[in-house]
Amino acid sequence: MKISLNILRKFLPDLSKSPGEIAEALTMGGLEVEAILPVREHPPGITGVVTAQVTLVEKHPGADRLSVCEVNDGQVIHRVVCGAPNVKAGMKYPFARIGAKLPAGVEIKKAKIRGIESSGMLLSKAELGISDDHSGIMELPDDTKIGIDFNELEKDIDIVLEVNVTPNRSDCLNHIGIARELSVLSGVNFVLPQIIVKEEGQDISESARVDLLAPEACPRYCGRVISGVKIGESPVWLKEDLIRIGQRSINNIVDATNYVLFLLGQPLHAFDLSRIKGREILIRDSRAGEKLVTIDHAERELPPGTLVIADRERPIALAGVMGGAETEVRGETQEVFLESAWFQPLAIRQSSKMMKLSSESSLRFARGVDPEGVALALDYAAMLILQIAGGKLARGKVDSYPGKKPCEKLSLDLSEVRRVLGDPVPIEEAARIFTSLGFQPEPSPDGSRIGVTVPSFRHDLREPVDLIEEIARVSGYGRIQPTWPGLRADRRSLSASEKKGVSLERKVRDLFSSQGFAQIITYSFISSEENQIFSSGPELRIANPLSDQMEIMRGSLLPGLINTVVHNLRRKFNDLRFFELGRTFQRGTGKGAEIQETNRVAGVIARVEPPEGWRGWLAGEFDLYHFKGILENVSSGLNVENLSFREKTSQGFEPGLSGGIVLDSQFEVGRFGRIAESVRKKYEILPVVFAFELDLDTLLSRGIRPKKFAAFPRHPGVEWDIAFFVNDSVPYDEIRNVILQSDSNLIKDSRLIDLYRGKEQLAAGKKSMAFRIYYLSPDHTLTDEEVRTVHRQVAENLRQKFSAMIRE
Amino acid sequence: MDWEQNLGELESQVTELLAQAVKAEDFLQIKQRFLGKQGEISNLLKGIREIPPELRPVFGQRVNQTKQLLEERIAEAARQAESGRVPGSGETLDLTLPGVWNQPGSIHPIAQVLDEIREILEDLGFQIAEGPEIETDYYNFEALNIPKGHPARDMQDSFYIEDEIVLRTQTSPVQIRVMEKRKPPLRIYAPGRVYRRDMDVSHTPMFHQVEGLWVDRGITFSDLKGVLMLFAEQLFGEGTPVRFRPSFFPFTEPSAEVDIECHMCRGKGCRVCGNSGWLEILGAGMVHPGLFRRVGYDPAEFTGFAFGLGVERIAMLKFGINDIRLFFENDLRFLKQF
Ligand SMILES: [Zn+2]
Repeated sequence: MKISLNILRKFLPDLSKSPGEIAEALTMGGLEVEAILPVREHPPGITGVVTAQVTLVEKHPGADRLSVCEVNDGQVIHRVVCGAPNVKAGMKYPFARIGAKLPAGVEIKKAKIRGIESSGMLLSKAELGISDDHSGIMELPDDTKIGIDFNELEKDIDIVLEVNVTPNRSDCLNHIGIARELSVLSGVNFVLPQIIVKEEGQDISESARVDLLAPEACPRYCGRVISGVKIGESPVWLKEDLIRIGQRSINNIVDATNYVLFLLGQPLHAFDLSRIKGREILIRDSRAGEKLVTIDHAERELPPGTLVIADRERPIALAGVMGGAETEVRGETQEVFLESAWFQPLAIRQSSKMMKLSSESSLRFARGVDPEGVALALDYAAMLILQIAGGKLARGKVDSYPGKKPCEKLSLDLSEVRRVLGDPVPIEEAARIFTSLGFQPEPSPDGSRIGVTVPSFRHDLREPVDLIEEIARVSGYGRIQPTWPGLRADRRSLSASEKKGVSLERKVRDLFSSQGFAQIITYSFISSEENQIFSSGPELRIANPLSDQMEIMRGSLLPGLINTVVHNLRRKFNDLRFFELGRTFQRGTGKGAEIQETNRVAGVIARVEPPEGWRGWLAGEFDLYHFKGILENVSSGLNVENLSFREKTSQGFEPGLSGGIVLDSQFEVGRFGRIAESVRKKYEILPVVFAFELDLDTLLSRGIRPKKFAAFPRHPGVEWDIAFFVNDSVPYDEIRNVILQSDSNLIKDSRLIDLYRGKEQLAAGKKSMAFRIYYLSPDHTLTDEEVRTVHRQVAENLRQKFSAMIRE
Repeated sequence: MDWEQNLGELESQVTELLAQAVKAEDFLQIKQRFLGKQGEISNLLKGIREIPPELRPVFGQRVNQTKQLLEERIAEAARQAESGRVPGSGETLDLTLPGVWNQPGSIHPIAQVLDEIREILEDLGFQIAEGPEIETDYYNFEALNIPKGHPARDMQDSFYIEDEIVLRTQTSPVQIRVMEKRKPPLRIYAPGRVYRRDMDVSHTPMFHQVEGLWVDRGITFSDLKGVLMLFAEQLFGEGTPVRFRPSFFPFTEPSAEVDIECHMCRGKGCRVCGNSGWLEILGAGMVHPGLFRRVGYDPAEFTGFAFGLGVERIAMLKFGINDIRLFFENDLRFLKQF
């Protein structure tokens, strides 16, 4: 919201604080000033105006209100007739020499006024086009040098504040509201501008009739009629003011209504009365099939039940949102019906939303304007129109006000102030603040409570706590002393699983980053096409996505990772390792099924070539087993046992080079392997990509076992090796289990130390394996004989189970 | 005499060889060739029989002297050669060469800042709480005093899955979920992803928030100020000036915006702080009694304060990042800096 300090002065004539002080006062009162913008340019079209000093003032012999002055413009002394009440000898003013040009195109000529020749003119701000101030000539500071071109005067003509108005304070979306606040916050006197309108001619009832048929949606409707207006450009001051507050000038009538909107916060609309059929104005709900061409020249279908302004035949405006093109004020318009109304916020919000149309008016109606300010704004606008567009104002006005409500009364228990703020507030202080806010406070006799009447423009105040905020806000948050509460809240852990979830995530993160993975964060929404690469099942679609690249809540973290690989490959990185921690989303199956959110971790490795190191230490192949090793490292770091890797092709992975990750032989917790060739082609990724994805929720709930200490014997064990040929199809896992189970008492561990598939063996479908077996007795040092017996049993078992040929 | 000449020649041969020797093996070879059992010196001594007996003591003495001399020379040369070299290899030691190790990984700056915030809040006794990212309209809006048509909904244009189901626009719904389940006293914080339908230079459609809530008997705005001042100082450094100014959130009353003094200009005003001298870091306020009524707390008995902050904003201030979109581009040139 742009606020001009010049316009504010209409309400705060004594405002003398610096822009910085004003901004500080507003900001610390809850109206954050985001920028202070000086307005420096001079109104265009001024030539021949200089600074000058009045050296002598005498009464005009022929007219009481005029004076005859001697004016020194630095070159000569001019004799000038002046009508301004504030002209004084010794003061300095802008002076137009003969031949000077003023913004409105006026040229200054020699003139005889009541018999005395005037060679030049002392100027008001209005004549200079700086503002609409006609009250007197513009006074210049004492230290102004005389004889200087007015355009070269280095001074700010105005300051514009950019104010961030919170949605609860719709009363501050205009100058009068900001002025009221500033008056409360800094103690400057607030005055309402005088509104004097001259009514003449026939009564309004003879030229227009208003029928309020929707009193619920429109509790108040006011109107006036002005005839004989001359549509044209606005005066320079009005154009300038509108530009400063970010508006465009259209014509004098529209500008006047716009100006009042930003001045008083009341949206107005001017109709060309001659185009209103039957001169009848109806406020009603739209009927099926009705249409309206709005002033933006779009034809709009009106959903039945939309609040409209209509004439006898058709809707002529979308109430509170936008006027209609047919009845809009145009060049030939002579007779104007001026509307000022109070529409229900909900009604305007609905039509604005349904019609997908919003305006400065609808924004204000939707947040609520002051129902008591409706007629005042109407009169102000009428006054302004008469001033800048001429015409005659019909006698009387329409004021249909079926929804009038008394102002809300609230009562505040002062002990509550202390209970909420921590600081006590004396009743006098509270009363003083409420008085300044216009709340008409009534303290109770015992001084424990204070009653207030909420002004009609403060509809945001609904309960006592709102009054507490007013006290805190006006007296300043800075005044409230900080305190540090003791540890009164209890120490029970709110949720053990959430806490564990955080520490699991942190561990996962540390384990992956220590293995060269960079953590990434990608958007939770992806395209449907990408989602279907790695996920199946019903998709969770966003009804109003930003684009079709962001329309599905991801079922997998992998698309984000793959995209990150693509992004960084383009930037010539060649050893890429990424992981992401985050949630995936799934719609449950069945009726009324809930949306499931699962915490997962996923990662990728993509290597363009064995990256070079100065010692070649990074060279060497990297295959699925290396990748699996990383995952095993992580799972052991997390203290997750009983994870097994099974061959299984999952969506998006390469068949035969990928697998599933299973916990306790039954819970599927993840997948890993090489990304399918087809996926790599789709993304135009050259290097091989390994990827995994793990369900952290299941790991957390089932997989992590508390560590248990196992006593270990102090005497040494022995290691014996066994080598054999076996069918290539027998998995390592099964062989190792048979070895370990051959004597669970004495065999502590076994490790694969050699795996060889020579041509000969391969031809026979065999492989050669060697295991090292660790023998250890819990209570004594084993003899060779004891070990030999068990070792033979191992060999025997391998022969029986797998037809292994033991190599001696 | 012949043997005198031989001795002299041996000496110069050794000198010459030592000058070329580099590795430990070279020195060992020289030592063996001249001083070993079958070495030159030994061979020379074997010729003692050809020396006239009266000269033999002199001869013995001279050979032994030479032997000793050569031993010392070889040892000394080897010692000199070793210094500044990897023992035994002959390579010069260069400790400025990079260590042999895998490329380092990295932790996302948002995660790092979240950790920092978490640690501070946990020290202040706040406990973690979590809620879904896909929320119902009730928890995300209604229960937080934002009924349908409330202007505050305009500020947070949201993503919908369907009617009444929305991607949470804030972490505040966790407040309601926790209060529904638990009676006061409680002191929780809720970190997580939130979503708003906004995408331009300073907005991403997804970002992270941390929400805090402290409810008990006797919690006041003064407590809010004290705790958040402590929080801000721990996050941005002791002595950081903090100010509280009135603002508006539908679910708190009174509401406050918390600013810290701009660290770039020390409050004088600069481009970073938009000339105000202050930087906004979080929003806060006393929990609105409407929320308490909704979850079955008696507002006459309990009070509380809540606060919320944007993690990206804090990270941008702390690291001097000027484009929020960098966080989700995941470019390694960015990630590797943290
Ligand atoms: Zn600054």
